[in-house]
Amino acid sequence: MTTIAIHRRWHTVRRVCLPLWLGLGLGCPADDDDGFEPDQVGELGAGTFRYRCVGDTDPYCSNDATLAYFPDRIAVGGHFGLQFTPNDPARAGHYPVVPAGPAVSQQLDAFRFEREGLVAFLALDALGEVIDLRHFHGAEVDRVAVLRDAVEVLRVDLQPGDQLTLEALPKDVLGSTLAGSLTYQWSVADPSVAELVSAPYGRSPTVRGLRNGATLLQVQVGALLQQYDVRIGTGADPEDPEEPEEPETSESSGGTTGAEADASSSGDDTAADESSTNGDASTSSESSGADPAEESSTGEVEQ
Amino acid sequence: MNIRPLRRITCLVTTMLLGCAPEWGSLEFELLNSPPSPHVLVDRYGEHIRLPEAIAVVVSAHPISDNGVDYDDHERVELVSENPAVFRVYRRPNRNEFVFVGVTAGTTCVEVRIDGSAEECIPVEVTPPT
Repeated sequence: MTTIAIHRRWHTVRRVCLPLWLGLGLGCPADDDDGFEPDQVGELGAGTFRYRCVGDTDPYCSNDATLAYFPDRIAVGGHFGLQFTPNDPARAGHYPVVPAGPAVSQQLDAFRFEREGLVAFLALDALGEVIDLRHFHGAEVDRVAVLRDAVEVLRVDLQPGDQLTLEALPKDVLGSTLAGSLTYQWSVADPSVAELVSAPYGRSPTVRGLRNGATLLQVQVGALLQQYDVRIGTGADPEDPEEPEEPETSESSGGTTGAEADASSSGDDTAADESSTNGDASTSSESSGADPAEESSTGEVEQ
Repeated sequence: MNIRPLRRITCLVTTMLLGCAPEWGSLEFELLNSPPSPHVLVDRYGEHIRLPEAIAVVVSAHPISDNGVDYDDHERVELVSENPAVFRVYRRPNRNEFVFVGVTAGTTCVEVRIDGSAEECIPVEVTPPT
C-alpha cells in the first residue's frame, strides 16, 4: 500500500510539475518524500545546494530507491538545475548559481554539460561575491542500460500480443548512473515483428510483440546509438524456413550505425503512464486483445 | 650597495618616532578548500598560480611587508585578473578571501592592489580540463 501511495504521489508531482517545466522553464525539486536526499552541503559549509530535475527523464527524480542520493556525476547533454540556500536565515534570498567556464551552458535555471570533466558551480550573493561552491563531474553516456524489475537485461523476449515496459538508465564508462534529463529516441528495426506502444521519447519504452520473429530495439541518446535484441515467440520467422540465429547482445554497441529503423510508435503512452503509476512498470506484460490463454504468458527477458 | 637594511633600520627608528608605513614584499596565500584536482598549484608566497579549467579554489590573501613594519589587516587587498576570459577572481564576504576560477586554458596574470596601489602581477596558468 505504501508503495502504491508513493507511486501515486510521484505521478501527481509529475503531472503538476510538467506544465511548470514546459510553461515557466522552472524545475520542481526532487521528490524528497520518497527518501530522495536532494540537498548537499557546499564545499565551504555556508549553505546547501539542492539538485533540481528539469524535465521528466532524469533517473535521479524517479522513484528508484537506489538513486536516492545527491548526484555528482551528470550526463553530458543532460539538463538539470541547482538551487542554493544559505545556512544563515538572516541571509535568505535568491542566490544565483553560475558555472565556472564554458564547459557548462545555462539557459534560465537549467544547466547542461557540454563536455566531460569537473566543473565548479558558484553560489553568488547580490554583490557578486561567492558564498559557497560545489564541483560536479560531467561524463559522457557510455551506454544505456535497460532494466526490467530493476535488473538489467540484455535481451527482450516477448510472446506475440504481449507488451513490456522497460526502464533505461544512462551509464558512464565507470558504470555510474548519470543524472540529468536526456532526450531518448526509441525505435524498432522491424515494425512487423514488434512495435513501440509508448511514445518514442522518454526513459520507459513499452514494446509489444506482433508475430514470431527477431528484431532490434534501438535507442539514440545524443551521438550514442544502442541496440537490444528482441525475440518474439520462438524468434523464428514463419516466412523464413531457416532456424533463427541466437541474437547477440549489443551491450557495447554504442555508436553502431544500425539500419535505419522505422519508429513505429502508436503515440499511445497510456500503458507506460499506467505502469509508472502502479509502480509495476517493468512487469507490465499486458496482452492487448489476446485470448486468456495467451494472456497467461508473460514477457521473458534474458538476464 | 644594499640599502635595504639601512632603510629597515631607518624605518624602525622613524616608526618609533613618527610611525612608518609597511613596504610591499609579497602576498601570502592560504588555501581554504580542498580542490578536487591534484593539478592545482597556488604558491604560498604568491609567485605562481596554476589550476585546471573550470576548477575553483578558495584562498585567503595576506600582504607581507618587506620592511619589518607589518600590515595591520586594515589594508584593502584587491586581486584583478588581467584576462577574465582565462582566469577570474571573485571576492568572498570574508575579508581578504577570494575564489580563483580557471575559465579557459591559457596564461595571464592577476594584479595585486593594496589600498588601490598596484604592487605586482602574479603569473597565472590555466591548464586544459582534467
